[in-house]
Amino acid sequence: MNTKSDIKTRKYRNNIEVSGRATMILGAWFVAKFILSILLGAESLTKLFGFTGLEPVLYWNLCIALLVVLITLIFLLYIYIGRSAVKYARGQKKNRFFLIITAIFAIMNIWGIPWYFTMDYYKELSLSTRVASAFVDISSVFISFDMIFSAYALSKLKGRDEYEAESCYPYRKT
Amino acid sequence: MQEDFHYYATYCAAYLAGFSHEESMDICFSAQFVDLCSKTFLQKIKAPLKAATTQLKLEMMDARTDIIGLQDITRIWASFHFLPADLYVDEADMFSAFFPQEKGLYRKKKRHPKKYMNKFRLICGPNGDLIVKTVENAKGKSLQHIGIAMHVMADTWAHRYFAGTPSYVINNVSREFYEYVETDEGAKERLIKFKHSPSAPDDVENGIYSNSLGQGSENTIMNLGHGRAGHFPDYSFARYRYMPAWGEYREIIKDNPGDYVKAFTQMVYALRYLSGSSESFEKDRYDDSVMERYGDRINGIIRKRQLIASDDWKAFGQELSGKNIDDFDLSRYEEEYILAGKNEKDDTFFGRFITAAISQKGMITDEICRSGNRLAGFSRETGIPER
Repeated sequence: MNTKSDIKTRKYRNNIEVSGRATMILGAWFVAKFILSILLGAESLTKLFGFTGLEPVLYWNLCIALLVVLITLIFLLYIYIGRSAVKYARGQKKNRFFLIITAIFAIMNIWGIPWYFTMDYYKELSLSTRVASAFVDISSVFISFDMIFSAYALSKLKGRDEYEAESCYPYRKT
Repeated sequence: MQEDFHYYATYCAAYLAGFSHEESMDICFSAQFVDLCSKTFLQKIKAPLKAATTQLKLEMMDARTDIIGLQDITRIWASFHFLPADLYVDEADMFSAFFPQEKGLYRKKKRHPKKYMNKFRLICGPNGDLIVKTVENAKGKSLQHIGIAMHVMADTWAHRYFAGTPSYVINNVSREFYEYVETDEGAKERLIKFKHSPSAPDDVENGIYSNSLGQGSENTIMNLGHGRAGHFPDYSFARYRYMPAWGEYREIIKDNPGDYVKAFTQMVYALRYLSGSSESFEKDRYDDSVMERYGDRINGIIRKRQLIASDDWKAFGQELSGKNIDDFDLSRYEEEYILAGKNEKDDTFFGRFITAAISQKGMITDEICRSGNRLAGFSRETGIPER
């Protein structure tokens, strides 16, 4: 029950679950950050879309609608990754497709971090804001890789079936 | 543990150890009174507040959690309810105290800060050096002192693996808290559902128990003792598996029925020593003759799934002695203490209890301090001679 393998199994399962919960919180933060930046004037939809003011209202509405759909999709992806990680950690899910999406998110985050300091769009923000944003993205990358590594290490520790049998199902016979 | 064991079971143990009915009543009253002797009560009877052996929920809500407040909390809880198993745990082999099979297996590098190790060394467990000192400290003293020692001894079994200091990293438990339940198809695990509802009684049938509010702050009072597991560790029938925060992903299987039997037989053994029937008290020794004679009866009481077993223990005690066991009444000795003159208070029932409590608290606080641990502060009063 408390062999090195058992202890490591629990540790990696816990890591995956915690990373999953953190991913869901990051998803919520992603949405909240965007909405707040629009509401508080830090961002402007006009500037974001490059509107000149001469576009028809329908075009304007379509862009807004697309933006909402995109943000919702990204948020739902975060939630999917988080919930899948939690279920996987508890032995309630076998499919590891969520790890692929996690890896894609991580790579995109890594690719985007230098933009805070090189892209003209961000140079209008204060240095402290850009550094803070970069740290959040670095944390997100760390969480993603921790989840992927823990899942890999878990699968290496024992066969998947054996792991399934020892996961915590209620009403399991002792 | 709760009233059924601290009062009625202690009476049974005292009677079986050779004490008379009246002496057993004094001992068991004192054992139960440890759970009720709060500063609020002591203020009411105008007794010294330093004799407090517990804190009420309202007192804990108002308790400070700065260093002074934490020391005050730890002094009380570690001295009477969560007696440390080993104050000198070696960090390199830190888990062998609780997982003997790991002794010498996983030598760890010293990487825990001293602050953490101080809390780790307060984890409660039976058969430590301090329980020997507790029993020795009660030898030749009042019946009230014996009662306090029996309360402390009993709690080392029920409260093992938890520490008497507020600490998230020591006392928190994970979501994976499973109870072993006997069904028609054999023993099965059932995930326990904890929820914070102090007014609702625990639902034994459906496995829903109340616990303290989850707070991530390290020193919050919610993380004191077994609060995160609620009242569950105090149920004699409970058998459960869980992962304590201090265990670094190790699981513990707690067998309360087995532990309660050991607690009872160890109490009888200790009480024989305290009554003078036996010459010495050593740790990890039990009076097995009790189980040979009354094993079925005692096991039946302990293993029955009920929130409180007072009626069963009371019936057993009354059968043993043939006398009626009065129900616990907190006000029984109040008037005696309040009306006594200043120089006579120490000779009253509560007066002797207060002297014993101060002695026990002082002794344990001093031991913790001598080990280099300042979590309980320090004590000026150790081993106060009783009149």
